[in-house]
Amino acid sequence: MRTLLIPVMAIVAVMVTSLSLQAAETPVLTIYTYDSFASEWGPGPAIEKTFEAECACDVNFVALDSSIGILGRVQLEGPSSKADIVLGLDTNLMKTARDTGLFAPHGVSLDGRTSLPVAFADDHFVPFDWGYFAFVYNSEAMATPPTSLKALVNAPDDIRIVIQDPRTSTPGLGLLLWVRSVYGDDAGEAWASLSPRIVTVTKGWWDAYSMFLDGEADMVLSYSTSPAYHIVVDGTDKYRAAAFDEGHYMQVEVAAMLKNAPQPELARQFMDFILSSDFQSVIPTKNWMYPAGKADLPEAFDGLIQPVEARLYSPEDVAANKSAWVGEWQRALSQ
Amino acid sequence: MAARAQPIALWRRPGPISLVGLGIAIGLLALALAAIGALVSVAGHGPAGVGGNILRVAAFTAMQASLSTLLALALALPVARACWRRAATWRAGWLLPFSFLPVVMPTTVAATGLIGVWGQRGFVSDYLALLGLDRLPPIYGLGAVLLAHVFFNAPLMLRVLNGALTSVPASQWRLSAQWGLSEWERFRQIEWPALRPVIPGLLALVFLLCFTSFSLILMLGGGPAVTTLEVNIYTALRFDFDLALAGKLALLQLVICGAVVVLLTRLTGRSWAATPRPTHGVPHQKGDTSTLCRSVDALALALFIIITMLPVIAILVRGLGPYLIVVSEWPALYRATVTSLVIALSSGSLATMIALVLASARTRRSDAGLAVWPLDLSISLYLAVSAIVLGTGLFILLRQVADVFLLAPLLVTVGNMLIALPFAYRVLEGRLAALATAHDRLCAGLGLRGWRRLRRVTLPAIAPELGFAAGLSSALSLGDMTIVALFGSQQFQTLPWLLYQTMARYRAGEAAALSLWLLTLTFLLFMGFTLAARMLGRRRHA
Repeated sequence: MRTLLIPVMAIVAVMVTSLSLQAAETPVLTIYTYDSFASEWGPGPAIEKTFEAECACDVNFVALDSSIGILGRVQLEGPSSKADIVLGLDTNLMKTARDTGLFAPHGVSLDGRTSLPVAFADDHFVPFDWGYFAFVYNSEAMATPPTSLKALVNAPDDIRIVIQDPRTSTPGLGLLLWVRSVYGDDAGEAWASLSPRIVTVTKGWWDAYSMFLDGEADMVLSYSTSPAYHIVVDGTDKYRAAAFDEGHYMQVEVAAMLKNAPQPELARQFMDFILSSDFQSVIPTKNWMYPAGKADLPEAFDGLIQPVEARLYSPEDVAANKSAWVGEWQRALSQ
Repeated sequence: MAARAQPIALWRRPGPISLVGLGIAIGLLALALAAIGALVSVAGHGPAGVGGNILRVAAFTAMQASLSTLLALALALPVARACWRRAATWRAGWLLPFSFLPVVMPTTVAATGLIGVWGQRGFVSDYLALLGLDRLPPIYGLGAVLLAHVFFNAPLMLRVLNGALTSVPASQWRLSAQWGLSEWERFRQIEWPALRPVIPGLLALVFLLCFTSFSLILMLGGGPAVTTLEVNIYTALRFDFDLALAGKLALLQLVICGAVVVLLTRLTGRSWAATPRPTHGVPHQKGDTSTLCRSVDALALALFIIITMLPVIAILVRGLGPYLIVVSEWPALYRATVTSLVIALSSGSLATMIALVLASARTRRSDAGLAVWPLDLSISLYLAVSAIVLGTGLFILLRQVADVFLLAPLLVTVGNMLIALPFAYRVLEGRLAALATAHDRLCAGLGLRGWRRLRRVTLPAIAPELGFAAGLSSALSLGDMTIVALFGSQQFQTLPWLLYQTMARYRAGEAAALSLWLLTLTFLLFMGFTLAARMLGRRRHA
């Protein structure tokens, strides 16, 4: 009997702990986000603290494994979801998200409050940060990186890159769209030409990035802001992003409130809070992205590359074409 | 005469435990199908037809899994023989307690270890460079996937095959030594009959593990050409949010794997005896000390150490350093450790108990001449149910009746239990079958039955296997990253999840230190169970 008792007690203990944490009197604002946003090293804790001070509520971040995981979760839960807000979708998912009919207009005025390199107006989604995709390299190991996407595609075989899978990773999808926006209908041939230089295609961003740090590849697909992390935390500027002549593809991360949010008033208040400097000032050195609102940038961001053009497909274009474009990518790399 | 015949007839009867076991087996099968059904029903429409492309993927997956399984066996078999033969002279037995580590390691951690050995800056390349030779070319592709699968599965095979060899009675070895049987004759006459019954079950298990491989394929495969059905299930569910297609692919996976399990387990009467028995009193065999035989054994052991032990050492080397002190100051580390241990111990002991019931049921049914394949099938199938489909399906089913945030710890416990169950079942079932043959008559004569027989006779005798099963199950769930990623919440944080969050924020040093911590904990947990069981077994015997 004793053997049976231990697991039963353990389960009860876990259930009771989570129960007691849920049973607060103050209203709870539930935000679904991705793991690293809510983690101790992410912006979540600081944002939670400031917002709780002004809303007299509890902020509960529910950390899911990716931005696509957030959307999948609310789709599974449907209208009875407990989430008030989802934070961490990007423009590539906006059309799909809007079509679910699960989200409500935010009622926040975006005019003059954003600092994105592209125009952004949407009544359902509020941008909270953005970044450029870029290939990062180690300047001590590679003196002259390619200066354009075309140069990389046609580079000699001894340049080795590691990228992410567009079906499982946001940067992976970003590169797919980047290549498509530069090459148009020739994207398939471009991928075939790039293929010998691709060491491997990973599931997530970190798998690729850690391989690069381990010396498995000369360049890795990441963000133009990645070098800032190494400057601030590691104290080294040897990691740089390569500026490409065609301009860089962008990612804009957005938040939205649910139509059936259990706490609609709090949700609306939070949607407005997103573009405040209290929220935005945490973004650069916690999420390692550019703030979407107005906030001062830390010194480490000064030396980052300034792309000549910000490339971004509309959410509708992405939703309509992504399956076909991924098919094209798969065929080109499977040969 | 009649008085003696009755108890013997009694133990031939399947008894209530057999029905309970069958009930659990049917329940497990129903649960897996319900999870897939839930997915399809939420989709609200029937799935599109499965295209020729998917059939090609399925064929490639099967080819990859077969190759991986055969390669793992090709490595494990000579190593198992070498380990057994050289246990006394070379102390080769020390490999065994460490050999389960790859089996339970989170794939992301394992991949860093593999890259630490075979990568551009890995041990092997560094050594080649030191000798003035070229570094290894990039390893990515089918070859890297096969290497990784051998790394994960050869140790498990070694453990089981070695267990089978040690179960050969010493008397047979004495006879063989007297007769001076040659190496080949000995293998054919003595070793093969002991190995043959365990091999089909082992092949089935490893085939399923390789067939459903996912993260490793994406990490080491080199590109979309190297893929598995599981990768397609994941992308159908996540990228396309096509629940119906995901459900259909999951079903296809289940059918293919089910066919393989039935095919392979039909070839076998019983399965594994996993725990090494004492080998003293076994005389030296003819040719054991010949240079050829020693070289072959040395080569097999060296290859095994390079493939399965070096990556573990690479993880140790990366993890040792100042970052260990950094992470040791995180309060989150201790919270996550406690959460992980609670989950691991709960799902590990649950898996062991349920496996014990199922294994007893199998033994009873087998004795009574009833079919055992429904048990084998429903349990093995949990390795073939895509983890993400199982998790998503359970989520859909349970959110209608309960709060999902409260469910998270429970679902993770149950999910991990289901994944550990096939391992625990295989470990216990082989030993119970062997015991039944040895003890049935005696117990029947003494009138020991049911609970009393279990407590007095069976439990003390299988204590080492119970320890191994519980240790393996707990260790497996300690390293789980798949299921926990499906049910997030801020309060509920396990160690692998903490590792995942650390990695998502550029923190390579901390991630390496956490990997080492996770690995150490896994090892201690496993050894704790093994030693506790051994002591328990000894005390009861005394």
